[in-house]
Amino acid sequence: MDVISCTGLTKKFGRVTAVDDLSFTVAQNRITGLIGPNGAGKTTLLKIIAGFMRASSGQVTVFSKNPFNSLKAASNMVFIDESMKFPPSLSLADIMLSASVFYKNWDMELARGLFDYFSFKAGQYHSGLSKGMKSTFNVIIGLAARCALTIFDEPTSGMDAGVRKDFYRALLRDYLQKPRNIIFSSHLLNEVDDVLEDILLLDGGKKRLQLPVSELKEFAAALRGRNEVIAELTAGQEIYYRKRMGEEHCYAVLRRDAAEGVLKKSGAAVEILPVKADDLCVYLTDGKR
Amino acid sequence: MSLTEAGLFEVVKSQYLYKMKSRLGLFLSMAGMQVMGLLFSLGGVMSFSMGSQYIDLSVRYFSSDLVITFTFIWLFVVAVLTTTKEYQNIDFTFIANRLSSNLSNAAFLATAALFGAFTAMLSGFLLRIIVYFKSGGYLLSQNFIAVPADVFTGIAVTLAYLLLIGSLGYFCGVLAQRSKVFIVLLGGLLFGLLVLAGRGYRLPAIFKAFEFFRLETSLALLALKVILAAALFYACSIVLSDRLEVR
Repeated sequence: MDVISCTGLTKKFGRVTAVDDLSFTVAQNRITGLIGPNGAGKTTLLKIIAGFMRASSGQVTVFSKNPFNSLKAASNMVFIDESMKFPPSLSLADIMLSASVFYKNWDMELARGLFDYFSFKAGQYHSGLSKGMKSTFNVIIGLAARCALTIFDEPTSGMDAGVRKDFYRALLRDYLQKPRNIIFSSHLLNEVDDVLEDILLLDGGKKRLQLPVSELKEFAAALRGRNEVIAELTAGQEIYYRKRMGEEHCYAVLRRDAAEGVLKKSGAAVEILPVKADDLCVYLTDGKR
Repeated sequence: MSLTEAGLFEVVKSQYLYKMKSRLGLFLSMAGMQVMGLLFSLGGVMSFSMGSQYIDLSVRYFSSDLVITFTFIWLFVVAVLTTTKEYQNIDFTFIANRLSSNLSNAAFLATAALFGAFTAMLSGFLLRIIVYFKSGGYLLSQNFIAVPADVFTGIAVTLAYLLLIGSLGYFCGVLAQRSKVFIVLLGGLLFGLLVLAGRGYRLPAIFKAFEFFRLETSLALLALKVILAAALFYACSIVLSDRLEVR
């Protein structure tokens, strides 16, 4: 059963199309990374999936229900982002206690463990936390809620490198113990590619790619050689990125199988190089700019 | 991970308890408003004096009407506040849909009305005590001694009006959330009414609706009218906010 399924999903804000005719499915118990530059439609898509916003057209189902106004979807979902709002009168300990009333699978032991590990104090208030501390507290809620669908929308903003690493470790450990569906949006792929299993790459509200991270790492290759050789050999191929290197050489990124084909024809005139997954994502979404 | 199934009632209950726990500050502000009303009432709400060469007579009436009025204003403000984005986003941090959020708000406002009605009516006793010790004059006993039946009727009637005001405020708030145009319209309406009433104009026929509640003398009928009207306001609010986007 697919956990999330979208067909022709479109969301418009006035004249701006934030999500544009998007179709994809997310299979059960995977950690999916939603990657894309700013303004790619990541947050809008996640808010539609969470049932906070309504699609302008197209279909979306979460646990085979339209998430908008569905209590079934809502009770199995937690949405973590940096603008989460808590009552200003409740202390952090009170907030965790309230969360445990709402979420049936809430794990207080896990929550307390992380709470102490990140050295929060029970009597602190959310409004008094720094930006990074707020994000850290929010992800504790996200992990301990143990919802079948856990959505993190750029959860690490403001966290320092050490806390981010600790969070990724906690996320993976808990995921292995209790497999569930996690969607994680970020524009920093290099940091999260060890955590993610699948990637959905968005650009301009459209799907650019959806595949397992392992395949993304093998998806493309770069060729380096003299300008005219590269131009001749790659004619008719889709080139994701091209860069001049000095006067006579250039560097071109294309699909790995195409690159290997070129290499066979060219002999020693061209060099093949690997492309890092995060660089590839930038190349794939940067084309129009 | 297996899916959990939460019923509407269960979610509304959790949200209601969460709201009661996190909004104690609003009840403190109610106490503040009531103390202010009480202070304003200490000089007496109405007085007249007369005198002749040998006699000076001045009569002062004391009542906690002002405390009740201030409680009305407080609940109206709380009801509008409840519909703002700030409060709504807090709802949607945890499990909620629009229906559960509206229903738990209605339950919260009804509880606030109950607290308001009790405390506002009981403030009359505090006023009596203060007047007893502070006023140097002669106290007329027939109104000073409170009859339990009257006190309970007072609480019931205040509660009925508060329920009505809460639902009206909530409805106005939802309208304002739908479109900012309503803020201007409702503000203009209120201001216009104040000016009209202040100048002694006869209000347009539609405002006879207030008389529908104000002139009702049977408690049971008043309760019925209020419950129906409040249900109507909340139903309209639910319909209007059903498509609202949150967070």
